[in-house]
Amino acid sequence: MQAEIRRSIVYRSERGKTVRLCISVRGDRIMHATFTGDFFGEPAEELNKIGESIVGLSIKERDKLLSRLDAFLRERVEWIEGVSPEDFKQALVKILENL
Amino acid sequence: MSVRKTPAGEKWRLLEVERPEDPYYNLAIEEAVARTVGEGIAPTTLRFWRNDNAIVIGAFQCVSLEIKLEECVRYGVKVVRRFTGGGAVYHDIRNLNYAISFRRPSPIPGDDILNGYRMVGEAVIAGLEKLGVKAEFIPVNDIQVGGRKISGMAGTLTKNFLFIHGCLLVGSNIEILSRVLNVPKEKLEAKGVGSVRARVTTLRDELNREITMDEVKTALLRGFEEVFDVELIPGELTSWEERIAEELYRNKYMTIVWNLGPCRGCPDRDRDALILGRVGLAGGD
Repeated sequence: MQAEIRRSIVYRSERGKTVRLCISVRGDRIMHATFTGDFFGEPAEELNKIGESIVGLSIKERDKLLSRLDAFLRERVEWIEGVSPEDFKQALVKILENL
Repeated sequence: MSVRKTPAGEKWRLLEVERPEDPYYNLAIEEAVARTVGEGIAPTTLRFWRNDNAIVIGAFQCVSLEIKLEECVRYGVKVVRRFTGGGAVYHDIRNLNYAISFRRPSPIPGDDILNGYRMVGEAVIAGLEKLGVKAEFIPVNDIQVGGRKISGMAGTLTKNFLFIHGCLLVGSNIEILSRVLNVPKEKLEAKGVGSVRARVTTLRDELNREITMDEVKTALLRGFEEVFDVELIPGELTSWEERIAEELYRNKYMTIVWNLGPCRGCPDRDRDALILGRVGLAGGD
């Protein structure tokens, strides 16, 4: 079995707060992904599941990853402050650059 | 946009219910009051309270990344997650927390949380002015004196309520704060400081004297009354709030699964669950 690679990143938003992304990858598949940070928003249950939207996808399918993330933020998050939806995508882009 | 202007002289409830030795119960009360106000069962409420030696982590933060858990065990610091977002804060008995719950539509313009931070910030600043301290509001949610943070706020907006709470550094032990919090270097660099200690100040430092909590609370109370043009009347928790708080305490705030947070794939989760168990939290994953 291939080894699991873990990466994490801290992304500072221009809106003043921070997004952290922790990701683990086996082969080219995302096994776990969690977005955390000091932002504000609702509903809390959905904000805590943002990372689940990209689990199972390939790190080589960048457009699909960003599209899935974008759809989740648009459809399931009512409001968010301190960071923007774009900040979550940028954190993902930066971590993909290091994989 | 719906805005409810506060009728002049409207009466709000003032609560001073606290269990400094039990941060889990304090947070349960916070949420119980917000929900009850949101349901219209209690009036707009301002609460003052304290924790004694605890870290309160934001709803969307990762315990493993934000806190030095082993340092918490060394200093006997309890760790509790709150129901609002924002960053991790250290509370000791010389830190005063304030919390305000509004039923919607609230007197905050647009029921907008950023406006909420600004307006509640103005109330706190008005209170600090009465103590002789000149502070300013720094977006998104900070209050600073001379470029150093003296208070930070967090909050949330649901269907029923707008809730803002914050902590004011009265005479806190900033040394422990800097040892137990893991502030990302990106955040310190963005603030132009090299350490947590350089970024914060206390009322004691600014006044160059000890100050009692009663003095601080009286001043803040006047600030809120002035900015919102209301009268704050001392009150108690309703039996409804006591029941909700008890349920939240047992089923949420005292559990490891709540306090660990959303990082289910984190390799450090089991280790951190054991550590949280050592400081008295219950429940499994």
